[in-house]
Amino acid sequence: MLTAEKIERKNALEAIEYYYQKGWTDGLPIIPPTEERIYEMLSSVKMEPTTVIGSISERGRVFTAELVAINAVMAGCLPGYFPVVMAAAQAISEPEFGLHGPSASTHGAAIMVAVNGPIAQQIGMNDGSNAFGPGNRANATIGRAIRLLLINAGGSPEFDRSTLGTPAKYSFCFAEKETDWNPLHVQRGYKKEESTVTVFACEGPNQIQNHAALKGESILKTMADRMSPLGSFNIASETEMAVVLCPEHYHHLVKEGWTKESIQQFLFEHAVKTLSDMKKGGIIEDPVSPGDDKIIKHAVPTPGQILLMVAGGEAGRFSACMPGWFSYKQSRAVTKSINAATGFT
Amino acid sequence: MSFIVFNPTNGPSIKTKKMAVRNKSLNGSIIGLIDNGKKNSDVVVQGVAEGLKKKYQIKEVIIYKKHSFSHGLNEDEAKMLADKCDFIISGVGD
Repeated sequence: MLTAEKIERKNALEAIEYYYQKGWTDGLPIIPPTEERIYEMLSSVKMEPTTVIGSISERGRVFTAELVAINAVMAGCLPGYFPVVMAAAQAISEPEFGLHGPSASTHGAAIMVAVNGPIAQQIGMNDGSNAFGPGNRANATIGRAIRLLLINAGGSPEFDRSTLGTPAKYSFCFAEKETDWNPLHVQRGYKKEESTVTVFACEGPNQIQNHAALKGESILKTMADRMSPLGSFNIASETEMAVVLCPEHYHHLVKEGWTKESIQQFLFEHAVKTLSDMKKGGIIEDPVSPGDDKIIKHAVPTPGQILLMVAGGEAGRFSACMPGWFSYKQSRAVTKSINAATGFT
Repeated sequence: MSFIVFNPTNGPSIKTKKMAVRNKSLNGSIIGLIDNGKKNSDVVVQGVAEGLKKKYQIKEVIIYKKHSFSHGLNEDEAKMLADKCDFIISGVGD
């Protein structure tokens, strides 16, 4: 039995307007959460409404399966998407994700939701053209469900102090394209046939174009440059980063024998700033000293802290990177098995 | 005819909070100040300490730096400070 307060309106349109008046939306219209639709969500994961699936302890906020389901309905999810939403909600509640920080910070981080494994194709997720953009219901509504959950049950109206925010806070969800390389979830210790969700607190996508290079190393040097801006936490602090290679860059690199692991190593070594760069660029207000050009700050602490994926349309040499929120010591990417989190097979 | 929908919100699980009892004077007290570790938080906390010392006969000021600005103190840290201090200022905003 559902425990949420029942609200009676004359019809669906009145309900939509009521949710606007109450501030229970992200600014876009919602699908009214009726009992039937909420139960359709819950039945896809065989969970009781009152099951506690996560929390934000700093705010005394608790997420129940029912609350996740209500917000998933509102976001426009189909029941088949709900195992992904549920696993993502559990992933952001893990202590190492540190949800309170990135969801309160003036930085205004988005929550990236990357899906791997068979479920991505089963529910029709987009890993191709416009993978980060509009048009696919699963991508759009799974990411939106997580945001609505934070707005309505996570205390965002009180705690979210984003200076600018990012459009990626409406929704930022995509699937990794299957390639000859190890997918992200395999690199993170899961079996290829498992379906997983990986959440990461980060900036929206920073596009990286290189249409001119004839050598893979040149493509990667351009990427490394984009991954190491002075104005990111990756240079100012110690932070993970997500990197998505577009298919054209992928095909070029794979033909030259690059693997995910060798690319991570190269990007780790080349995505750097010197202390001299940091002083000249104003991020450190000290005079440049002899030897400062020899002191290196890496954009990521280790090669494995680059979450490397492939996605996007077949045409165009536009890859992307997503610099992380403040520090991996306060918020790390978390991967969850959807089966283990929800019982969904 | 009616259309039934459900409230998607969830308030804090701790419903009421009240101010701690002020049953001691700052004079002669041990004050705990928590530095959240953000840039210049230490400067602010030092300024508060100096201001309090000028205004009151503070016995001791203990400044404690949190390991993470986005996490609360853990139980052991909180107990250690509670055992030592008469008053604690735990919030620094930016």
